[in-house]
Amino acid sequence: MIRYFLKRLLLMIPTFFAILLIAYLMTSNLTGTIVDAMSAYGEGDALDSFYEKIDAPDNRVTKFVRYCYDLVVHGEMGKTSSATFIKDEVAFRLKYTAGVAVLGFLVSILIGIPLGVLAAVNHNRWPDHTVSTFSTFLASIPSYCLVLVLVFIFSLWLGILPVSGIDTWKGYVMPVIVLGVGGMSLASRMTRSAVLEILSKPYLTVLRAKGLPEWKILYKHVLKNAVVPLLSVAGNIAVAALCSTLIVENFFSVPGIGAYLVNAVKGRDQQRLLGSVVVLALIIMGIGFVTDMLGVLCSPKFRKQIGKNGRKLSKGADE
Amino acid sequence: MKTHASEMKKHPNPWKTGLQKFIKNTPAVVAAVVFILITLSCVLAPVITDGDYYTITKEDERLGFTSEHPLGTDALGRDLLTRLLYGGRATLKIAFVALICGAVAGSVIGLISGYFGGKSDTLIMRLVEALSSVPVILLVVAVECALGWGEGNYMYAIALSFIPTFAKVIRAAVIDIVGNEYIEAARALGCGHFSIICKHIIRNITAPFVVQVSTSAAEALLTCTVMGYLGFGLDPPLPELGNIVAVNYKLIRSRPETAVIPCILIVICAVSLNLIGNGLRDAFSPENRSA
Repeated sequence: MIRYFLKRLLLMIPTFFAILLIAYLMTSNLTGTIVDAMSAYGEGDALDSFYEKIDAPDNRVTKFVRYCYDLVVHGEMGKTSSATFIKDEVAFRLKYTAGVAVLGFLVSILIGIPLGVLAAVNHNRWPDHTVSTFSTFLASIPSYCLVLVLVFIFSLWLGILPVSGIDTWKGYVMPVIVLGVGGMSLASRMTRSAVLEILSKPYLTVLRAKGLPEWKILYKHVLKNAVVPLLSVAGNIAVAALCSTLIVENFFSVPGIGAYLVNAVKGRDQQRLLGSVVVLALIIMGIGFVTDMLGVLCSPKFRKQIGKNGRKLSKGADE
Repeated sequence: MKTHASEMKKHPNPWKTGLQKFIKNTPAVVAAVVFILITLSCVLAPVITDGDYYTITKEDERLGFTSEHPLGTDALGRDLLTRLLYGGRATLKIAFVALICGAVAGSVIGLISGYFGGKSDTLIMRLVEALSSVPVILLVVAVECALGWGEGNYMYAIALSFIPTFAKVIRAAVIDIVGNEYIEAARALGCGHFSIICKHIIRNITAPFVVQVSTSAAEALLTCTVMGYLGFGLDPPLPELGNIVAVNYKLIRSRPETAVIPCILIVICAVSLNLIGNGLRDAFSPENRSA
């Protein structure tokens, strides 16, 4: 058990560095940086002396190794062009992103999962059709259309919520609604198919034949067995909520990581871009780790498999 | 051979029955018709309009609905209908190419991973896991950094973002098929990997492939428009559904319809793609075929 935990934890390290390496290489030839502008006007020699002055090593690999060294040993992510520490900027912005993402996640889980269970239990009856239609429709609305409608209703028409900014709790309402709606439809669909799969299991027929009331079957057997798939649903929703903040923050001018990243891209700022990628990658991998571990703790089947083989078995091989 | 032929008669062509099921599904058929109409008008944009999506009309700037500009002009005074049709053309093309590239690449990866199994499977699936944990927006940034900005290169990024989904779905389907006796029999008869994959596996994964493509189509379209909205799409004079909304968002106080109409068009496209996807899934997914 502990071996599996450690293994899973250690496997995250190469994954993290792989993501970092790819991000580094891809962004290392960003066009339109300050050095580009200089090379367009200056002589070649001037540029060389500039490189010598800032002590820049000549190839990308040494730069990458330096970056990793700073990150791992000192916990630094470099400085911006205006000499502020990226670490501090990211930490400041993380608060807002975390607030919006966690609230959006909670809204989508707390509404989406019950709706999905409701739809699955009433399979092919009106609650199922209503929930399915509803979630299909919601899934078809891109976030910016929803933003447009919400701003139109709450800010311009009713005038009760601010168009942008997040100074008071009112600023959180619309971003959280946008995140919640997206996550909700995803959560209800995933929950529905997960619960339907359990409902088709033959042991439920035995329980019914035994004379157990339907609610007892639902709470004691179906939902208990649904915990593991629902955990993975929750993990997916958490990642989706985090990714949606990248987009939603830009609409409402929330000073979070997402807006930071998009601005870094628009400003062709590699240091800021890498800083936000590092944070996002760590959080996403953390979510994956936590859901996996909770899944293992909750499921006797997984526990047994891990005890036997030291790793999760693939779907088709569990006979 | 004789028994084989009679077996075949008992099971009618699954594509035919699936199609019949799909046609009975009214919302899906209506959605298909609507989507085909929208696609056709976008494809025929040069015929329907004069193709002038860039001229700024200064005198009648911010015009309402007129005979010359049926949907009015946008925030910069350009004909909205022409921009919408050309924008729809660009977005649909990018979404379609992205989806097909991603679907094919992901399926090939899933096929290799599921068929050969073992160490290569573990390695491939780990890489796919890593890819799936990267947000689409980062992929777009990375790909545009590498290939250049503003030329629609984000379609490759969206294609990349579909690889994990398809790899997982196809891998699961392939693992299911490889466990069957007829694969073992084919192997015992001396078929090579290549002929087994071509003759047995690819035919059997077509249904999940089609279903997954159709359910991912709306997502591809929406991702394209979001990237266009954020300014990672085509460069400004070129219209695209996402950047049309972004430009007209400024007019939300004076003339909201210029932003609302493109939004409605996008939502109609996405809803119809989702309904078509659901219809195809119900018609072709193996769980429903027996029922």
